[in-house]
Amino acid sequence: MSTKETDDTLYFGDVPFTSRLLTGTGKFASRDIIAPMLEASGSELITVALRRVDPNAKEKDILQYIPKLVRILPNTSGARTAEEAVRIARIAREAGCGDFIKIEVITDMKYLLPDNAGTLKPPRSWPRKALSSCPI
Amino acid sequence: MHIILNGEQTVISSQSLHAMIVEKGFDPDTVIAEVNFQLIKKNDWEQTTLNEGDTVELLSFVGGG
Repeated sequence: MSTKETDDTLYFGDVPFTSRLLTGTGKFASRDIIAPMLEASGSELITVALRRVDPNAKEKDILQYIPKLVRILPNTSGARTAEEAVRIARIAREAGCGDFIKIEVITDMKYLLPDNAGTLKPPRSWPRKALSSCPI
Repeated sequence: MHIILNGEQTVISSQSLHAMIVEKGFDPDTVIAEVNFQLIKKNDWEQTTLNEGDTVELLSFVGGG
């Protein structure tokens, strides 16, 4: 998959995207269809979440199912506070996911509604070398 | 030795972070490790010694969003 610059190019930070389709990874019936779906749709950005490891999980790390040319957008959906969101963002960057982060602070565990005030808070406490934050 | 592993009191016999991850049956290739809220890079796992009462978080990327 290649990124061709056009007049309609979308930029997140200094990274160009020709597709405006952002892909989530929460509802795939099988991880084996992630790569063919990305190829067919042209989507160049895909979200993933960071969680405690489940020792009983049988599937491999989801990153192994995502083509290398597709940009990873880790989210902070596991965060209950702004501080936890910053921690997750730092871990994701150190883990090799690049400088993108989708900020989410969720305190409503029944309906997963975001805490908007909490979601807007993290950028004020980002490290000086900031990540490209992308609240969606 | 007792540590807190992903929020649970856990007994381990390993001394190093890497050995503990293997001892507990996790896949070293796919997990991310924090000890006492400090991210430990994979290259440093074998040299990272665990101590009584340490808090260890093992994380991985999953579907979501």
